[in-house]
Amino acid sequence: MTEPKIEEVLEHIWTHEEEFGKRASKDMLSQWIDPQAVDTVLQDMLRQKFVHMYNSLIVLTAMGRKEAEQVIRRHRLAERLLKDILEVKHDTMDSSACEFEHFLNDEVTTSICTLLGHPVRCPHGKLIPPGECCQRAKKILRPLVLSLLELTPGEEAKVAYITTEHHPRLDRLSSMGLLPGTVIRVHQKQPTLVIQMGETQLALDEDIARDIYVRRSH
Amino acid sequence: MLKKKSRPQKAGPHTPSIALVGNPNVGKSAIFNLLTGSYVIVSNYPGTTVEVSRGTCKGIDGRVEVIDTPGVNNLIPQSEDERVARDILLRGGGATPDKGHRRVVQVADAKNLRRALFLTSQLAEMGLPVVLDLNMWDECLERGISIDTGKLQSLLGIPVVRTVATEKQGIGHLLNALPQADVPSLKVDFGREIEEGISRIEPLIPNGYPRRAMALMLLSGDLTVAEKLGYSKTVQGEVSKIRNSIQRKFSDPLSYAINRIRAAYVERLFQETVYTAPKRMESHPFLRASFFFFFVPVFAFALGYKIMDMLLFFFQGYLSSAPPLGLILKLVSGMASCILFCLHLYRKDLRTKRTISEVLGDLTMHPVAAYPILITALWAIYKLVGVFGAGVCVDFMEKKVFGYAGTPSGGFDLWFPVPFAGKDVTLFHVPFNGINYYLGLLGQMLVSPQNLGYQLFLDGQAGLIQVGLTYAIAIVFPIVGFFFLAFGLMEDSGYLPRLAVMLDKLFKRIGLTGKAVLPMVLGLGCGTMATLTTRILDTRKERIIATLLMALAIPCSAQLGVIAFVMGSISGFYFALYVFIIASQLILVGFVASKILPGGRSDFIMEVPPFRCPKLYNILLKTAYRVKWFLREAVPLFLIGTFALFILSKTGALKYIELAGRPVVSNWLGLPPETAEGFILGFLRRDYGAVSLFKALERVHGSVGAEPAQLLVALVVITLFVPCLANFLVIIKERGIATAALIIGFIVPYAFLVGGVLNLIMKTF
Repeated sequence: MTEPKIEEVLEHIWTHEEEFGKRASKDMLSQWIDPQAVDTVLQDMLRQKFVHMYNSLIVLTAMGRKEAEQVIRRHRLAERLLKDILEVKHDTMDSSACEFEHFLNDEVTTSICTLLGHPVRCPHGKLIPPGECCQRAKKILRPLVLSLLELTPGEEAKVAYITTEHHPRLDRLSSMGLLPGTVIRVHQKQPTLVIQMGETQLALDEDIARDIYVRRSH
Repeated sequence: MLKKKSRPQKAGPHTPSIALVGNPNVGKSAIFNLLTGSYVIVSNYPGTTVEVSRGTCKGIDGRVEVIDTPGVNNLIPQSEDERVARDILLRGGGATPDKGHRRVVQVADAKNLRRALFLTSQLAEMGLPVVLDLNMWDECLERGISIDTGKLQSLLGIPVVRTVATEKQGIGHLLNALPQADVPSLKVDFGREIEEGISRIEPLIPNGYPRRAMALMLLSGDLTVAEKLGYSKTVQGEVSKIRNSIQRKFSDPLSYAINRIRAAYVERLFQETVYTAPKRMESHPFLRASFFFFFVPVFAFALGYKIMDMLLFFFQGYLSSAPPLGLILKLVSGMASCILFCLHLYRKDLRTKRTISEVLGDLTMHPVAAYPILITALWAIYKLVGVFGAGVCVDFMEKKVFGYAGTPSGGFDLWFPVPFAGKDVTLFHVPFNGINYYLGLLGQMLVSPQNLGYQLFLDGQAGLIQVGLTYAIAIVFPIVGFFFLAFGLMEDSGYLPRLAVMLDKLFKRIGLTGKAVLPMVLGLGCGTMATLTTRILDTRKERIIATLLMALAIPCSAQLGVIAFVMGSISGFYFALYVFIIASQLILVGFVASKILPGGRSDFIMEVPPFRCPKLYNILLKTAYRVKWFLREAVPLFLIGTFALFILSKTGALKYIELAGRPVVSNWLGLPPETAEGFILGFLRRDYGAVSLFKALERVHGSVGAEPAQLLVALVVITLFVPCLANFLVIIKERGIATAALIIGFIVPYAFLVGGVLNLIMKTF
């Protein structure tokens, strides 16, 4: 994995280009990181072929651009996660997201992206660079994690999580075997939702089904 | 109610006993019946066993007590039922000094082993010796599921037997395995945090209780356990401190986390022992072909034809159509339904290898197809109960078998119809003049017909035998019997739970859930019995609403029989009006009650059992059991009612009551004052009231019959009016005297209010 400091710089170069449409120059580096470390970081980046210098301008290589995009992606996904799911306050969100971007690995990033339904923009309204999972999802043109209610009859899915605030309901569903990981198939939606799990057919209220999130299997 | 459930065992503490435990609708009651030779109702509807039944069984090691428990999904209880089952197990596990005298037969649905093993792991924690009984083994085979029972046996360390309770297979094996019952060798590792919590709570559990199981219940937040253990405030505080400190380490509620870990543990066991073949058993090709190419088109045609027929019947007064138009309409509707059904089935189900019962199971809760099927099912029940039971059978029983004192019935012919020839062949004439006639002759030998003793028994208006017993046996018995037969058929085939799925949305509006279908439909048979079954509902509010609605707007089958008979004499339009008024009252009152009564609605989470071909023997047995119960309850009440009537009419008090009721009955409802008698009798038996009303109207108007509008008002009021005495007593027993008084206090004025308003409307138009 790339060093956090390098990631940080790559991120700044990338956002600078995004924001102003201009290449970043060498003297900007000192605003972003500890001025004493500027030289070593730049040397490292050049050695790893993330950037090359064009006079005093820093130009991202294809590899560097890809690396930067990954960092941005992790950062903005983290923001979404913190804001939408964990409901963290705005200022905490910014600082936490900066930490998240450095320790999320690819697999976790993909899971978060899937969980959030492959969001396009971060809470600040900026574009989130799409990952492989988003390309795949685009082909299917629908989010992978969705409420059980949104499935159509005959579709099969795996329970991802249950968000109900109602503890007895959670206990009851889980003792009947409806738990994260359980494979279910929607049998019918009208007049009442009926799902099939293993050899059990279960009729459910819509209120309950709304809180059950599933991952489509296809 | 609860006290009764947990009453001390009749047998001494040293009598060995077996508790039957398992998920809902796996056949515990069926196994219970086979083990004990006694009978408790077996039903294909989850959660029907609400009471604990006890019986004895001659095991191979002497007599054993057998206890049937309500179905549970989790022994860390979430409902009253589960608490009852858990308490029975705890008592056997070691609350009494002679630990381990109780063995457990865990009945499992073999095709749903995952959920069964979930319970097995909890039984292991409770330290109970268990035999695992994989019931419904045949359905398991049909679905291509194979279970390595040998491996399961060695993994669990307990005997595992296979049974098919409805076919009485494997019970011998079960009996033989009982002495080998052992504590399952399962131990779920709940992870560092929870295990730490368990070890901190365990020392606080008093001796004689299964420590690990109790600790897990406390961690899951089951407060009833703390009470049970007789914890003081300080100990309780300590427990909740431990619980909170563990809970902090989990984002999910602790009970949910525990369930998830347990489920994951069970999943591994399941994967090791169960193998599902992709190939499923199919229906026999001939059966399949005849189902798809003969039964479906013919039945669908009949469905469409019949529904149009009924529509025409309802409006026949206004639509005096020429015969060809009616016939064409019916044929068109039949063809349309035939084509629709066939298209639906041929498009999907013909090619897939599904069995007939699976196809039927889906059709009966299909968003569109289910409704015509429901209407036809209701029509078929009406034909069986209303026309055949209440018409033909009652007529024969009343006029020929019982007859009248004083007038000979003239006997009857034994005959059979010759098919296609349109002729009946009489075998011979039975010169039997009716039981009452012969009793009358016998009585007249001893005393004169004017003697009070003679009249007490054989008086034509209020004689105990002539009226009371004859009504009970001749009128009610055939109607109720046929209704219970039809109900048993719906119950065992799995149609009722599907009806619950269809009606859930409607029932939600009136404060109930689809689960209330069972008591409500049973209420069409006997409200008294149905009130007892409201126990399967989850909340107090739902039970009260269901009880109220049944007492108010659900006519019982005996009453329905009379109503159908009376309605048969007037036009279908009035019948449709009657159905509409009663149904609208049901919904209106239910809706208002659901808003007024405090408390919430429970979640509708219901298992839909597979559609099955019902076993005739089981249905007949169940019907016999229910009829027996009904006769035991009903006959004494009929006699009491008739006796009361006899006293009233002989002392002349009846006249005064009619006089007192006259303003209400004749001015407000517009009925002849004689009908007041019917309302009084209605309290003793609802149908009895309806009969007397009809008889009174007939007497007033002569043989031509009453005015349709008057009849309608009378029938609506008598339907809404108070439930019978037996039902009232059961309401008191189940809901308490205060609630019962409130229910009656509401129903009586309300019935008259609706009747009065209806009378005004009918007069104006």
